[in-house]
Amino acid sequence: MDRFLAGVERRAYRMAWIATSNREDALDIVQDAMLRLVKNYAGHPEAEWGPLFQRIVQSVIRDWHRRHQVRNRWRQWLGFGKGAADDEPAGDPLETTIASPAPGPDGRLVSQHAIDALDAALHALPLRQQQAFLLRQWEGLSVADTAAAMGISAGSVKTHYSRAVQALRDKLEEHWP
Amino acid sequence: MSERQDDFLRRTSTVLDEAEHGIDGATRTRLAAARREALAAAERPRRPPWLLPAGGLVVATVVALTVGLWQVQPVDDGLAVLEDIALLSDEADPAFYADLDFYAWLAEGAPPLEDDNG
Repeated sequence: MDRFLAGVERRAYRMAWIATSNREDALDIVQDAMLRLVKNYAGHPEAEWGPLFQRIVQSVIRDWHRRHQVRNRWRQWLGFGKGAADDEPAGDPLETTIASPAPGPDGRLVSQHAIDALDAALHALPLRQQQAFLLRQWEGLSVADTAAAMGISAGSVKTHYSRAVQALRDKLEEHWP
Repeated sequence: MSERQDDFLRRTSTVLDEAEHGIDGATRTRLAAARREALAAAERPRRPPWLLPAGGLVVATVVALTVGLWQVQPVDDGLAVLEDIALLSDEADPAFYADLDFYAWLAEGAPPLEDDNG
């Protein structure tokens, strides 16, 4: 299990980071997902851990998203207004580069600006579109596996994915650094 | 799919891969610590049964506070607020969700109890 988690934790962190733009929240999401997998599914065949972990990570991200929205609603209701620090995830991904080092002559294929621009564009997508895109395009999951990971129908996955691709192309294709 | 879209999508994957490989050392260390903590926590015994009422007490306190706040500042959708409480309370048990209708009815201004003594 330790080896499995070590192999998937960075990708899970990146997905959580894109959803939250907050390092601490992203780390919490990954740890929570790891804990749920270990507690509930360690006895399952190892071949099942990948899809199970993916489903758990997406679920924990959705929970975070709902809590984030609810906290803001309560702050408004209780008269605290919208907390600037919590209303938007901490930092604009275009300006905050906690998750990645600065570019340098280290053989990297793409620039930090390209990473930041894609992170920002992904972060701006509705959560379902963001998840559908990352699971289909980055993880390479089939429509059916993406639907299982997201807990929605295959038709919805296709819709979210298609809209995500269109939105990203509109935003990035002409000016991506 | 057009060739142009294919190129664009390939580039997104390349950029995402690069970003994953470029995660800084401090974050990698934190991830490894989170993994160790998750593995260790899973081996710890579950919370003893005598601690369970503490979670219910927290929820009851939050509900009481909320009903009090309603008197000061009513909201349109009582059920949504109670769902918020449940969402924000990690300790809420399934019975709390089952009672949501009752709490919503209470919050909306339950009719006065009839006097059994006539």
